[in-house]
Amino acid sequence: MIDRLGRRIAVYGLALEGGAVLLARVAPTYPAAGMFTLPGGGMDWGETPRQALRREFEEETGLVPSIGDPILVTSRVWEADEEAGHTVHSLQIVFGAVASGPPRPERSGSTDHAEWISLADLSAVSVVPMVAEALALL
Amino acid sequence: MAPDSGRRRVGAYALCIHDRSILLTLLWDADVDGGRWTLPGGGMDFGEHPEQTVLRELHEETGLRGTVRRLMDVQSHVYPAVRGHGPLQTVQFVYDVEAAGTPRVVEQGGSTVDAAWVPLTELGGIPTVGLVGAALDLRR
Repeated sequence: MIDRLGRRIAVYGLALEGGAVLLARVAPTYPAAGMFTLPGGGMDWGETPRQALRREFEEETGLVPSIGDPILVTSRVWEADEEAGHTVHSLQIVFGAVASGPPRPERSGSTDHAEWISLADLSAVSVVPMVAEALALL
Repeated sequence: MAPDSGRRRVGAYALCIHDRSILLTLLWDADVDGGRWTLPGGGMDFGEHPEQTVLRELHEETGLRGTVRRLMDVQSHVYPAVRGHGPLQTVQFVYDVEAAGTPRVVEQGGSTVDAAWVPLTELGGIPTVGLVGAALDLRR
């Protein structure tokens, strides 16, 4: 949701397992389509950040995460937001997360594929800036 | 699902502990939590990063310049509708902040009427908002 002050909060999980990071691919027609991002998404009204992350993470990967501390907050103003049609202040909160097992793709959502990608192979795929920013903190 | 039109108040707050004392601010009587002590902090301006918010509010409310050590948590609560206003969701970024010195309220006409270092051993004897205890519980 975008609140009355034009602010949107989204939450993401950084899960690492055996030298691989769990990423989701943005579905066609969404901004940054085809790029890989961290599992997560917008915080609905009334949800706590952790509730929102658990829901979005499971929607996009089929995996239930255990959620740790927040590790990164990004803040950016979009002059003409594609969703809202006006200026939006976008806050992204990245939490450390623990998950394991093979992911399954989200159906008819903002992502269409989820995958554990080896950190060594990361340069071969296109990732949104938040992924590199979060990994740089490790 | 809850309506998208719900109100949301986003703020950032500082847990400052120095020499076994905690830095607190006293809320103006007419505030919702009036007469109680809280953490320095307040509402995020449009476009601000919460780290900027917490240091700006810390200075306005206590005159002290702080340094962010780390983000401890992001907490959220929902308050029911009152007096014609719909329900309100708060989202609170709680930072561990390093600050020292003698506090004085800088901002005029704000909701803060006093600022002080309170020894942790004396916290039980003064009225505080729930955020104070919640932030202390986040300490490692």
